[in-house]
Amino acid sequence: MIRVLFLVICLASAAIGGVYDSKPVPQRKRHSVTDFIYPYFEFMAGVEKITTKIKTESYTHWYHDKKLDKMVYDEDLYYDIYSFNGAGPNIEAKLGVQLIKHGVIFLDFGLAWPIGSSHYKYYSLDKEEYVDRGYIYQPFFGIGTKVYPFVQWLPILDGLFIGASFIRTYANGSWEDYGMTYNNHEDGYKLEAGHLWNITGHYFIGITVSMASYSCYTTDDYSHDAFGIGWNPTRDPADEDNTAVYGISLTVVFK
Amino acid sequence: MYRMLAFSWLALCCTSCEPVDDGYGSYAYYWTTLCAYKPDSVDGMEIHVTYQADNSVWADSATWTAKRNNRDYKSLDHDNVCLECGDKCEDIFPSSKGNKISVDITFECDDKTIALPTFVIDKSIINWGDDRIEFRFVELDERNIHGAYTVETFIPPEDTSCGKFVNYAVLRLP
Repeated sequence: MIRVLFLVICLASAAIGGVYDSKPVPQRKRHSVTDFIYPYFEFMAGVEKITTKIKTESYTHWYHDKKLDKMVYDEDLYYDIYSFNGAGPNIEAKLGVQLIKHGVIFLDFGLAWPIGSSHYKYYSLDKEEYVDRGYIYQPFFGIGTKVYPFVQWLPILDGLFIGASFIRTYANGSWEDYGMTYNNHEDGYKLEAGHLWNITGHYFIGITVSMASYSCYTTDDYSHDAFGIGWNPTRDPADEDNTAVYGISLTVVFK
Repeated sequence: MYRMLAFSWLALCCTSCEPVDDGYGSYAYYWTTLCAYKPDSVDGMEIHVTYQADNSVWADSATWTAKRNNRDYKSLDHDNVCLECGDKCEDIFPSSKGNKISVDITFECDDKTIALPTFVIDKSIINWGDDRIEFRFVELDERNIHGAYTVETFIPPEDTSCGKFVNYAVLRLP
Protein backbone atom coordinates (compact mmCIF):
# COMPACT_ATOMS: atom_id res chain seq x y z
CA MET A 1 0.00 0.00 0.00
CA ILE A 2 2.81 2.38 0.85
CA ARG A 3 4.49 1.48 -2.47
CA VAL A 4 1.37 2.37 -4.34
CA LEU A 5 1.18 5.66 -2.47
CA PHE A 6 4.81 6.45 -3.38
CA LEU A 7 4.09 5.60 -6.99
CA VAL A 8 1.17 8.03 -7.08
CA ILE A 9 3.21 10.76 -5.46
CA CYS A 10 6.04 10.18 -7.96
CA LEU A 11 3.69 10.36 -10.93
CA ALA A 12 2.07 13.48 -9.57
CA SER A 13 5.46 15.08 -9.01
CA ALA A 14 6.55 14.20 -12.50
CA ALA A 15 3.39 15.62 -13.93
CA ILE A 16 3.60 18.86 -11.97
CA GLY A 17 7.27 19.09 -12.73
CA GLY A 18 6.53 18.66 -16.44
CA VAL A 19 4.06 21.51 -16.45
CA TYR A 20 6.34 23.94 -14.75
CA ASP A 21 9.33 22.82 -16.79
CA SER A 22 7.55 23.62 -20.09
CA LYS A 23 8.34 26.79 -22.03
CA PRO A 24 6.99 29.97 -20.59
CA VAL A 25 3.60 30.98 -21.93
CA PRO A 26 4.01 33.88 -24.36
CA GLN A 27 2.28 37.08 -23.45
CA ARG A 28 -1.12 37.55 -25.09
CA LYS A 29 -0.90 39.76 -28.11
CA ARG A 30 -2.74 43.05 -27.84
CA HIS A 31 -4.96 43.30 -30.91
CA SER A 32 -5.38 46.53 -32.85
CA VAL A 33 -8.10 47.67 -35.24
CA THR A 34 -5.93 46.78 -38.22
CA ASP A 35 -6.10 43.12 -37.22
CA PHE A 36 -9.81 43.12 -38.10
CA ILE A 37 -10.23 45.85 -40.71
CA TYR A 38 -8.33 45.89 -43.96
CA PRO A 39 -8.46 48.30 -46.89
CA TYR A 40 -10.29 46.96 -49.88
CA PHE A 41 -9.97 48.11 -53.50
CA GLU A 42 -11.67 46.55 -56.44
CA PHE A 43 -11.68 47.37 -60.12
CA MET A 44 -13.99 45.77 -62.63
CA ALA A 45 -14.22 45.97 -66.40
CA GLY A 46 -16.76 44.08 -68.42
CA VAL A 47 -19.82 44.15 -70.56
CA GLU A 48 -23.49 44.54 -69.76
CA LYS A 49 -26.86 44.17 -71.39
CA ILE A 50 -29.41 46.81 -70.48
CA THR A 51 -33.15 47.10 -71.06
CA THR A 52 -35.13 50.18 -70.09
CA LYS A 53 -38.89 50.63 -70.39
CA ILE A 54 -40.73 53.69 -69.09
CA LYS A 55 -44.31 54.72 -69.77
CA THR A 56 -47.05 56.67 -68.03
CA GLU A 57 -50.58 55.36 -67.65
CA SER A 58 -53.26 57.53 -69.17
CA TYR A 59 -55.55 59.32 -66.77
CA THR A 60 -58.42 59.88 -69.18
CA HIS A 61 -57.90 56.77 -71.36
CA TRP A 62 -59.11 58.76 -74.37
CA TYR A 63 -56.97 58.53 -77.48
CA HIS A 64 -57.30 60.60 -80.64
CA ASP A 65 -56.85 58.24 -83.57
CA LYS A 66 -55.71 60.76 -86.14
CA LYS A 67 -55.84 58.34 -89.02
CA LEU A 68 -59.50 57.49 -88.46
CA ASP A 69 -60.05 60.92 -86.88
CA LYS A 70 -62.10 59.62 -84.01
CA MET A 71 -61.76 59.28 -80.28
CA VAL A 72 -60.99 55.82 -78.94
CA TYR A 73 -61.40 54.77 -75.33
CA ASP A 74 -58.72 52.33 -74.23
CA GLU A 75 -58.31 51.07 -70.66
CA ASP A 76 -54.70 50.16 -71.42
CA LEU A 77 -53.70 53.49 -72.85
CA TYR A 78 -50.22 54.77 -72.04
CA TYR A 79 -48.28 57.80 -73.14
CA ASP A 80 -44.68 59.05 -73.22
CA ILE A 81 -43.36 55.59 -73.92
CA TYR A 82 -39.60 55.22 -73.95
CA SER A 83 -37.51 52.11 -74.24
CA PHE A 84 -33.87 51.31 -74.76
CA ASN A 85 -32.21 48.03 -75.60
CA GLY A 86 -28.49 47.81 -75.78
CA ALA A 87 -25.24 46.33 -74.63
CA GLY A 88 -21.78 47.64 -74.10
CA PRO A 89 -18.75 48.03 -71.88
CA ASN A 90 -18.69 49.19 -68.32
CA ILE A 91 -16.07 49.95 -65.71
CA GLU A 92 -16.52 50.06 -61.99
CA ALA A 93 -14.44 50.76 -58.90
CA LYS A 94 -15.15 49.89 -55.30
CA LEU A 95 -13.39 51.45 -52.33
CA GLY A 96 -14.04 50.07 -48.90
CA VAL A 97 -12.97 48.14 -45.89
CA GLN A 98 -12.86 44.42 -45.29
CA LEU A 99 -14.06 43.22 -41.92
CA ILE A 100 -12.47 40.10 -40.36
CA LYS A 101 -11.76 38.75 -43.84
CA HIS A 102 -15.36 37.77 -44.48
CA GLY A 103 -17.26 40.94 -45.25
CA VAL A 104 -16.68 44.13 -47.19
CA ILE A 105 -18.43 47.48 -47.05
CA PHE A 106 -17.70 49.69 -50.01
CA LEU A 107 -18.54 52.75 -52.04
CA ASP A 108 -19.26 51.98 -55.65
CA PHE A 109 -18.54 54.17 -58.68
CA GLY A 110 -18.93 53.25 -62.28
CA LEU A 111 -19.71 54.17 -65.83
CA ALA A 112 -21.45 52.25 -68.57
CA TRP A 113 -21.90 53.26 -72.17
CA PRO A 114 -24.14 50.70 -73.83
CA ILE A 115 -24.78 50.90 -77.55
CA GLY A 116 -28.29 50.26 -78.74
CA SER A 117 -31.52 51.79 -79.92
CA SER A 118 -33.85 54.17 -78.11
CA HIS A 119 -37.54 54.01 -79.03
CA TYR A 120 -39.96 56.86 -78.41
CA LYS A 121 -43.72 56.74 -78.80
CA TYR A 122 -46.22 59.39 -77.75
CA TYR A 123 -49.19 57.09 -77.18
CA SER A 124 -49.35 53.34 -77.00
CA LEU A 125 -51.90 53.25 -79.84
CA ASP A 126 -49.72 55.37 -82.13
CA LYS A 127 -48.40 53.73 -85.24
CA GLU A 128 -45.48 56.14 -85.38
CA GLU A 129 -42.39 55.30 -83.40
CA TYR A 130 -39.15 57.25 -83.35
CA VAL A 131 -35.90 55.38 -83.12
CA ASP A 132 -32.44 56.71 -82.28
CA ARG A 133 -29.43 54.45 -82.50
CA GLY A 134 -26.20 55.07 -80.68
CA TYR A 135 -24.61 54.83 -77.29
CA ILE A 136 -25.69 56.38 -74.02
CA TYR A 137 -23.57 57.25 -71.00
CA GLN A 138 -24.75 55.97 -67.67
CA PRO A 139 -22.65 56.98 -64.68
CA PHE A 140 -23.67 55.47 -61.39
CA PHE A 141 -22.66 55.38 -57.75
CA GLY A 142 -23.79 53.59 -54.64
CA ILE A 143 -22.99 51.85 -51.44
CA GLY A 144 -22.88 48.13 -50.88
CA THR A 145 -21.61 45.11 -49.10
CA LYS A 146 -19.94 41.93 -50.15
CA VAL A 147 -19.45 38.68 -48.27
CA TYR A 148 -16.79 36.00 -48.65
CA PRO A 149 -18.51 33.25 -46.70
CA PHE A 150 -15.98 30.46 -47.17
CA VAL A 151 -12.72 32.24 -46.36
CA GLN A 152 -10.55 30.06 -44.05
CA TRP A 153 -13.27 27.45 -44.02
CA LEU A 154 -13.49 25.66 -47.36
CA PRO A 155 -10.24 26.27 -49.25
CA ILE A 156 -11.74 25.26 -52.57
CA LEU A 157 -14.44 27.92 -52.23
CA ASP A 158 -12.18 30.42 -50.50
CA GLY A 159 -12.63 33.10 -53.17
CA LEU A 160 -16.38 32.80 -53.66
CA PHE A 161 -18.37 35.95 -52.89
CA ILE A 162 -21.83 37.46 -53.10
CA GLY A 163 -22.72 41.11 -52.84
CA ALA A 164 -25.48 43.68 -52.96
CA SER A 165 -25.51 47.45 -53.52
CA PHE A 166 -27.91 50.35 -53.52
CA ILE A 167 -27.27 52.26 -56.70
CA ARG A 168 -28.28 55.59 -58.20
CA THR A 169 -27.74 55.78 -61.94
CA TYR A 170 -28.14 58.81 -64.14
CA ALA A 171 -30.14 58.57 -67.33
CA ASN A 172 -29.17 60.34 -70.49
CA GLY A 173 -32.51 62.15 -70.62
CA SER A 174 -32.79 61.87 -74.39
CA TRP A 175 -36.58 61.59 -74.01
CA GLU A 176 -36.68 65.32 -73.40
CA ASP A 177 -36.02 65.78 -77.11
CA TYR A 178 -39.44 64.24 -77.66
CA GLY A 179 -41.25 66.27 -75.03
CA MET A 180 -41.20 63.49 -72.46
CA THR A 181 -40.18 64.19 -68.92
CA TYR A 182 -39.08 61.59 -66.46
CA ASN A 183 -36.63 61.72 -63.61
CA ASN A 184 -33.09 62.12 -64.79
CA HIS A 185 -31.96 59.45 -62.40
CA GLU A 186 -33.00 55.97 -61.40
CA ASP A 187 -32.57 54.24 -58.06
CA GLY A 188 -32.31 50.53 -57.44
CA TYR A 189 -30.22 47.63 -56.36
CA LYS A 190 -27.51 45.47 -57.80
CA LEU A 191 -26.76 41.88 -56.91
CA GLU A 192 -23.49 40.22 -57.79
CA ALA A 193 -21.63 36.95 -57.31
CA GLY A 194 -18.27 35.69 -58.40
CA HIS A 195 -15.01 34.06 -57.57
CA LEU A 196 -11.52 35.40 -56.92
CA TRP A 197 -8.18 33.67 -57.14
CA ASN A 198 -5.11 34.82 -55.31
CA ILE A 199 -2.38 35.96 -57.68
CA THR A 200 0.25 37.27 -55.33
CA GLY A 201 0.24 38.74 -51.87
CA HIS A 202 -2.83 40.89 -51.49
CA TYR A 203 -3.79 40.80 -55.15
CA PHE A 204 -6.65 38.71 -56.48
CA ILE A 205 -8.23 38.33 -59.87
CA GLY A 206 -11.57 36.85 -60.69
CA ILE A 207 -14.85 37.08 -62.44
CA THR A 208 -18.14 38.70 -61.39
CA VAL A 209 -21.64 38.27 -62.73
CA SER A 210 -24.25 40.83 -61.77
CA MET A 211 -27.82 41.87 -62.24
CA ALA A 212 -29.39 45.20 -61.37
CA SER A 213 -32.87 46.64 -61.32
CA TYR A 214 -33.61 50.38 -61.28
CA SER A 215 -36.79 52.39 -60.91
CA CYS A 216 -37.53 55.77 -62.41
CA TYR A 217 -40.16 56.44 -59.80
CA THR A 218 -41.39 59.75 -58.53
CA THR A 219 -43.27 60.55 -55.38
CA ASP A 220 -44.45 63.93 -56.58
CA ASP A 221 -48.20 64.43 -56.69
CA TYR A 222 -49.30 66.50 -59.64
CA SER A 223 -53.03 66.11 -59.13
CA HIS A 224 -53.31 69.52 -57.48
CA ASP A 225 -51.57 71.43 -60.22
CA ALA A 226 -53.56 74.29 -61.69
CA PHE A 227 -55.25 73.48 -64.94
CA GLY A 228 -53.36 74.60 -67.98
CA ILE A 229 -52.64 73.89 -71.60
CA GLY A 230 -49.11 73.06 -72.57
CA TRP A 231 -46.50 70.79 -71.19
CA ASN A 232 -47.92 68.14 -68.87
CA PRO A 233 -45.39 67.56 -66.10
CA THR A 234 -47.06 64.38 -64.84
CA ARG A 235 -44.45 61.68 -64.81
CA ASP A 236 -45.39 58.60 -62.93
CA PRO A 237 -44.02 55.50 -64.61
CA ALA A 238 -46.55 52.73 -64.68
CA ASP A 239 -44.02 50.00 -63.95
CA GLU A 240 -42.15 49.77 -60.69
CA ASP A 241 -39.02 48.36 -62.32
CA ASN A 242 -37.93 50.26 -65.36
CA THR A 243 -34.38 49.17 -66.06
CA ALA A 244 -32.77 45.73 -65.91
CA VAL A 245 -29.03 45.25 -66.33
CA TYR A 246 -27.12 41.98 -66.64
CA GLY A 247 -23.34 42.05 -66.67
CA ILE A 248 -20.16 40.06 -66.48
CA SER A 249 -16.82 41.56 -65.52
CA LEU A 250 -13.20 40.80 -64.99
CA THR A 251 -12.41 41.72 -61.41
CA VAL A 252 -9.16 42.74 -59.78
CA VAL A 253 -9.05 43.07 -56.00
CA PHE A 254 -6.53 44.31 -53.51
CA LYS A 255 -7.37 43.33 -49.96
CA MET B 1 -100.72 93.89 -28.95
CA TYR B 2 -101.06 91.52 -31.88
CA ARG B 3 -98.85 93.78 -33.94
CA MET B 4 -96.15 93.67 -31.28
CA LEU B 5 -96.35 89.90 -31.15
CA ALA B 6 -96.17 89.71 -34.91
CA PHE B 7 -93.14 92.04 -35.01
CA SER B 8 -91.46 90.07 -32.23
CA TRP B 9 -92.09 86.81 -34.04
CA LEU B 10 -90.76 88.23 -37.29
CA ALA B 11 -87.72 89.64 -35.53
CA LEU B 12 -86.99 86.30 -33.87
CA CYS B 13 -87.53 84.41 -37.09
CA CYS B 14 -85.28 86.71 -39.08
CA THR B 15 -82.60 86.42 -36.44
CA SER B 16 -82.83 82.65 -36.26
CA CYS B 17 -83.18 82.25 -40.04
CA GLU B 18 -80.12 84.34 -40.82
CA PRO B 19 -77.60 82.13 -42.58
CA VAL B 20 -74.78 80.94 -40.43
CA ASP B 21 -71.43 82.27 -41.50
CA ASP B 22 -69.61 79.19 -42.68
CA GLY B 23 -66.33 80.94 -43.24
CA TYR B 24 -66.50 80.81 -47.01
CA GLY B 25 -67.42 84.47 -47.33
CA SER B 26 -70.00 85.81 -49.67
CA TYR B 27 -68.40 84.57 -52.90
CA ALA B 28 -68.20 80.91 -52.10
CA TYR B 29 -71.21 79.44 -53.86
CA TYR B 30 -72.30 79.09 -57.43
CA TRP B 31 -69.42 80.84 -59.04
CA THR B 32 -68.90 79.54 -62.53
CA THR B 33 -65.84 79.84 -64.68
CA LEU B 34 -66.14 78.60 -68.24
CA CYS B 35 -63.16 78.82 -70.56
CA ALA B 36 -62.97 77.80 -74.21
CA TYR B 37 -59.64 77.18 -75.90
CA LYS B 38 -59.26 77.92 -79.57
CA PRO B 39 -58.00 75.14 -81.80
CA ASP B 40 -54.99 76.16 -83.86
CA SER B 41 -56.76 75.49 -87.12
CA VAL B 42 -59.56 78.01 -86.66
CA ASP B 43 -59.36 81.78 -87.03
CA GLY B 44 -61.77 82.81 -84.32
CA MET B 45 -64.08 81.54 -81.67
CA GLU B 46 -67.04 82.64 -79.59
CA ILE B 47 -68.44 81.26 -76.38
CA HIS B 48 -72.00 82.12 -75.49
CA VAL B 49 -73.39 81.12 -72.11
CA THR B 50 -77.02 81.24 -71.07
CA TYR B 51 -77.80 81.15 -67.38
CA GLN B 52 -81.26 80.27 -66.22
CA ALA B 53 -82.67 80.30 -62.71
CA ASP B 54 -86.41 79.66 -62.67
CA ASN B 55 -87.82 82.48 -64.79
CA SER B 56 -84.68 84.59 -64.72
CA VAL B 57 -82.56 84.20 -67.82
CA TRP B 58 -79.46 86.11 -68.76
CA ALA B 59 -76.57 85.53 -71.13
CA ASP B 60 -72.96 86.41 -71.58
CA SER B 61 -70.53 85.89 -74.40
CA ALA B 62 -66.92 86.36 -75.33
CA THR B 63 -65.14 86.21 -78.64
CA TRP B 64 -61.62 85.49 -79.69
CA THR B 65 -60.24 86.88 -82.88
CA ALA B 66 -56.75 87.22 -84.18
CA LYS B 67 -56.93 90.99 -83.74
CA ARG B 68 -58.63 91.36 -80.43
CA ASN B 69 -59.83 89.35 -77.54
CA ASN B 70 -62.55 91.44 -76.00
CA ARG B 71 -63.52 89.35 -73.01
CA ASP B 72 -60.57 87.63 -71.50
CA TYR B 73 -61.29 88.03 -67.83
CA LYS B 74 -58.80 85.60 -66.45
CA SER B 75 -56.11 85.81 -69.10
CA LEU B 76 -55.27 82.17 -68.59
CA ASP B 77 -53.77 81.89 -72.00
CA HIS B 78 -53.65 83.90 -75.17
CA ASP B 79 -55.69 81.22 -76.98
CA ASN B 80 -58.70 81.10 -74.73
CA VAL B 81 -61.66 83.14 -73.63
CA CYS B 82 -63.29 82.82 -70.25
CA LEU B 83 -66.62 83.80 -68.81
CA GLU B 84 -67.21 84.11 -65.13
CA CYS B 85 -70.50 84.41 -63.34
CA GLY B 86 -69.89 85.67 -59.87
CA ASP B 87 -72.28 87.82 -57.87
CA LYS B 88 -75.28 87.23 -60.07
CA CYS B 89 -75.00 83.45 -59.92
CA GLU B 90 -74.33 83.74 -56.23
CA ASP B 91 -77.49 85.75 -55.71
CA ILE B 92 -79.90 83.85 -57.90
CA PHE B 93 -78.87 80.21 -58.15
CA PRO B 94 -79.14 79.32 -54.44
CA SER B 95 -82.78 80.43 -54.26
CA SER B 96 -83.81 78.71 -57.47
CA LYS B 97 -84.82 75.13 -58.14
CA GLY B 98 -84.75 75.28 -61.91
CA ASN B 99 -81.12 76.13 -62.57
CA LYS B 100 -79.62 75.62 -65.98
CA ILE B 101 -76.44 76.71 -67.72
CA SER B 102 -76.08 76.24 -71.49
CA VAL B 103 -72.84 76.73 -73.37
CA ASP B 104 -72.71 77.38 -77.11
CA ILE B 105 -69.38 77.61 -78.86
CA THR B 106 -68.77 78.61 -82.47
CA PHE B 107 -65.61 78.46 -84.57
CA GLU B 108 -64.75 80.74 -87.43
CA CYS B 109 -62.64 79.78 -90.40
CA ASP B 110 -62.44 81.22 -93.92
CA ASP B 111 -65.47 83.44 -93.37
CA LYS B 112 -67.50 80.47 -92.19
CA THR B 113 -69.00 80.06 -88.76
CA ILE B 114 -69.78 76.62 -87.44
CA ALA B 115 -71.57 75.81 -84.22
CA LEU B 116 -70.68 73.08 -81.80
CA PRO B 117 -73.48 71.18 -80.05
CA THR B 118 -74.91 72.97 -77.06
CA PHE B 119 -73.50 71.73 -73.82
CA VAL B 120 -75.85 71.88 -70.85
CA ILE B 121 -74.32 71.67 -67.43
CA ASP B 122 -76.00 68.99 -65.40
CA LYS B 123 -78.68 70.45 -63.14
CA SER B 124 -77.48 68.36 -60.26
CA ILE B 125 -74.14 70.13 -60.35
CA ILE B 126 -75.77 73.53 -60.04
CA ASN B 127 -78.62 72.70 -57.68
CA TRP B 128 -76.56 70.90 -55.13
CA GLY B 129 -74.27 73.82 -54.73
CA ASP B 130 -70.74 73.04 -55.71
CA ASP B 131 -68.76 75.97 -54.41
CA ARG B 132 -67.20 76.53 -57.82
CA ILE B 133 -68.38 75.25 -61.16
CA GLU B 134 -65.49 75.18 -63.58
CA PHE B 135 -65.43 73.77 -67.08
CA ARG B 136 -62.87 73.94 -69.84
CA PHE B 137 -63.57 73.39 -73.51
CA VAL B 138 -60.47 72.25 -75.30
CA GLU B 139 -58.98 69.80 -77.78
CA LEU B 140 -58.03 66.85 -75.60
CA ASP B 141 -54.43 65.74 -75.73
CA GLU B 142 -53.46 64.41 -72.35
CA ARG B 143 -49.78 65.01 -72.99
CA ASN B 144 -50.45 68.72 -73.32
CA ILE B 145 -52.91 69.32 -70.51
CA HIS B 146 -51.90 69.49 -66.90
CA GLY B 147 -53.83 69.72 -63.66
CA ALA B 148 -56.72 67.68 -62.36
CA TYR B 149 -59.83 67.30 -64.50
CA THR B 150 -62.36 64.77 -65.72
CA VAL B 151 -63.66 64.33 -69.24
CA GLU B 152 -67.40 65.06 -69.36
CA THR B 153 -68.04 64.58 -73.07
CA PHE B 154 -66.90 65.52 -76.55
CA ILE B 155 -68.73 68.13 -78.59
CA PRO B 156 -67.49 67.88 -82.20
CA PRO B 157 -69.44 70.03 -84.68
CA GLU B 158 -71.86 68.44 -87.12
CA ASP B 159 -70.67 70.85 -89.80
CA THR B 160 -67.14 69.71 -90.56
CA SER B 161 -66.27 72.45 -93.00
CA CYS B 162 -63.73 73.88 -90.55
CA GLY B 163 -62.54 70.46 -89.44
CA LYS B 164 -63.86 67.52 -87.48
CA PHE B 165 -62.56 68.47 -84.03
CA VAL B 166 -63.51 65.03 -82.73
CA ASN B 167 -61.30 65.61 -79.72
CA TYR B 168 -62.91 68.88 -78.67
CA ALA B 169 -63.81 67.98 -75.12
CA VAL B 170 -65.65 69.34 -72.15
CA LEU B 171 -63.46 69.00 -69.09
CA ARG B 172 -64.74 69.52 -65.60
CA LEU B 173 -62.37 70.77 -62.95
CA PRO B 174 -62.75 69.53 -59.38
